[in-house]
Amino acid sequence: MSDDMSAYKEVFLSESAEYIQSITDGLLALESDPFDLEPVETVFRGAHSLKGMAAAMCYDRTAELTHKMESLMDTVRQRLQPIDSSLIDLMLRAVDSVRDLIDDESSGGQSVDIDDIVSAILARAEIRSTPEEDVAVQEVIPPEVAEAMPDVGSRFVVTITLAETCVLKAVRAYMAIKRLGHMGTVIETRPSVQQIEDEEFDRAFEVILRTQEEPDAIEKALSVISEIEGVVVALVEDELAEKVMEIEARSPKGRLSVPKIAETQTVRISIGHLDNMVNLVGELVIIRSRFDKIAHDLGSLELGETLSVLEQVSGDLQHEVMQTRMVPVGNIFNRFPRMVRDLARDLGKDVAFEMEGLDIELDRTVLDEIGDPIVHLLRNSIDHGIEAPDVRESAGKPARGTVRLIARREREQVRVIVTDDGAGMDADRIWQKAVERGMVASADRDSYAESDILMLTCVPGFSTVKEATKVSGRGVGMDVVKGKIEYLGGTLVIKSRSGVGTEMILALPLTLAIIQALLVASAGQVFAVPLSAVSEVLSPEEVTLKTVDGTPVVVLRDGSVAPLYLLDEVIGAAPRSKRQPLPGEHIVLMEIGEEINALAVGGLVGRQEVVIKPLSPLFRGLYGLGGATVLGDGRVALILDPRTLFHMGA
Amino acid sequence: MSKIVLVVDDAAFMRMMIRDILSKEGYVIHEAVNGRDAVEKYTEVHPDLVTMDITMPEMSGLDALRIIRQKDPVARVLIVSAMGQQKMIVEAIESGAMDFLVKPFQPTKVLETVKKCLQSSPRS
Repeated sequence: MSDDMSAYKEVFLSESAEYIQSITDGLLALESDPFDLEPVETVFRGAHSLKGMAAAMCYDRTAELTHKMESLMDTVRQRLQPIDSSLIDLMLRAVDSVRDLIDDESSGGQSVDIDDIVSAILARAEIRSTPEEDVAVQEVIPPEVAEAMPDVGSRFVVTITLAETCVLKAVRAYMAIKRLGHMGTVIETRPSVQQIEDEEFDRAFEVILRTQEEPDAIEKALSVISEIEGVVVALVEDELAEKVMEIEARSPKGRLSVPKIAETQTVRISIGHLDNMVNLVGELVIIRSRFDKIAHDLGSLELGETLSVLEQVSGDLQHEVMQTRMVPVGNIFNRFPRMVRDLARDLGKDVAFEMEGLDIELDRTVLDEIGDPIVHLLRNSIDHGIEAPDVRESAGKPARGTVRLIARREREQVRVIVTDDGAGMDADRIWQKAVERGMVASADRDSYAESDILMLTCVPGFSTVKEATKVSGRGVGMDVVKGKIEYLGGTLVIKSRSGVGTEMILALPLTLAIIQALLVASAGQVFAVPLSAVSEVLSPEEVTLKTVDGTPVVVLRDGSVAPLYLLDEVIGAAPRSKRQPLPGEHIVLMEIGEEINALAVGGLVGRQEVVIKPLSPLFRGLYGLGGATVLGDGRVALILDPRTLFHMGA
Repeated sequence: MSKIVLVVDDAAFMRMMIRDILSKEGYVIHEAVNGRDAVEKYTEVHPDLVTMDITMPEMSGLDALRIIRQKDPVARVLIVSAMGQQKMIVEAIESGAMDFLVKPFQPTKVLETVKKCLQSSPRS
């Protein structure tokens, strides 16, 4: 069995995580409404299921602890325990231990000790010290046994021996006695009915039965009951001759051969395989576009038609592979309610936490990466955003603050939004701090929009908190959050109103590896611009140019202006000149967050799906470049990173 | 013809274990995730045997057992339960369950018990 176990381990781990989650959710629900008994059932069932699963995996400590949790929750179910915060705390602590234990035991460790938590649970359960094993097996033995009625037929002593491995002997004995009761009248048992109920016998017991049936029939009737190893039926000729017969233990049946016929409906795939598939599909996309070019060059209609079918199929395949990587955000969001609760308690804040859009799906890689940034934003909201209850009340707000975490699908993006109705961010204070830190010049205040000032909090080394709190002041700042989101190809926007609240918006790409790109040329080189960042492409004729403070700008439709950059200059192929674009150059408008920049490019090459290949470590961190890709004709094109491209010269 | 077994357990892990053990012996497995589901699936697939967990959301194994036995008085139901539920096992047997298994179980024991249940007559 131990070999088979490894195959079950993965299922065990993922399903146990689900149960741990549902127990946690149940406990939190119980805390907010102690009169709702449904969560009690959820928690009880969760512990019960975990116990069974852990026992099957031979994770003995996990099985023991979950068993204690189950027993405690059972007393709660029976309303023998008050539901108060100390119970919830204790159970949450136990849940934490279970998580650690499973980590420990599943990796063969011995390091996690459960004595403390087990004794804490036992102490709590003292109020009623009867976990379910102690519940006597009541009415196990049918009442008709005791009142033996005279009947026709012969008397037999039936000696029944249970298998050595038999669990719940009393129940087995009950099944046997019940069965015999159907055949005639049970006159007596040895040991007594009470002793059998209390399992006060080793493996064998006797039933004295009066029946008209033959001994063979008695044996046969008992043979259908499992875990009975031997049955000896002796006819009582004379009551004095009645004696215990030697028990003839039948040898256990040989092991059944197990042919290897597997049947599966679902398969769990490691994320590594999925990554490989994405890469291979990516290669396929590249080869396909190479074929497209060949077909175009050859002018072969037939090849072109076949290729359009290939395009359809490979497109479907790509979509399918991408789909397998999509995971609902709820998978990582579900751990936040507990975190928010603990944090709010630690900080003495009263916080209602709401989540929305849990079924929105994101690429697994993106999802794994945004967990920490979201944690940080939530911490900020609770620690710096939500005011203490008395402060809120004196400001005319409800004492309980609200923090919301929302996921929303918007075209090719997913927005994850963290909002709070707290104190908001104070732009003046942020500005002052930035001046003190030498990050900005005091005189430049007027050239900074409010939103720009808020973004200063994302510059490395910035912190508006006077003293680092244990929660959010751990050196991980907004700069890390912003960096991580941008690394994922997303953007961060902060909106805040002093006294009203703050909104942090993460805009994330649905997937990572393949993007739609606009191919542009400059100085004989082809570059790929992520289409998600391109808001508009203007031909030279339709552009209105202006110069503001000596810098060329493009006048947009709504009258606002966007600074103009020249591609060959931003990538360093030509020196900065602040010159006007050359005749024939196209202008690509790029929108990042709420910032629009204009980029003059030598020419437009086309629009294509490209597979992002990371740059070698040597070039990583270069501003302006997000990776490289291989084009249909085999040339390598650098992928521009619109988020950093325009800040290179700054 | 292969015997059909309806495996009822809210834990996918447990269903998978029982499925693996039984399907290797040629049983055809259907699954249900709680008592209510079990009752529905029972009418749908008419299994030769049901392995029934007791503690489940929506509807317990005991309630499902009673409903199934009421609809089909010769239904074969094998209780699969955890340690410490003897009272409920006794109740289940009173309600017509043929036999019981206690988790954790050995594959051979599962096969033996299932075979036994299928061989004997469903009325007790």
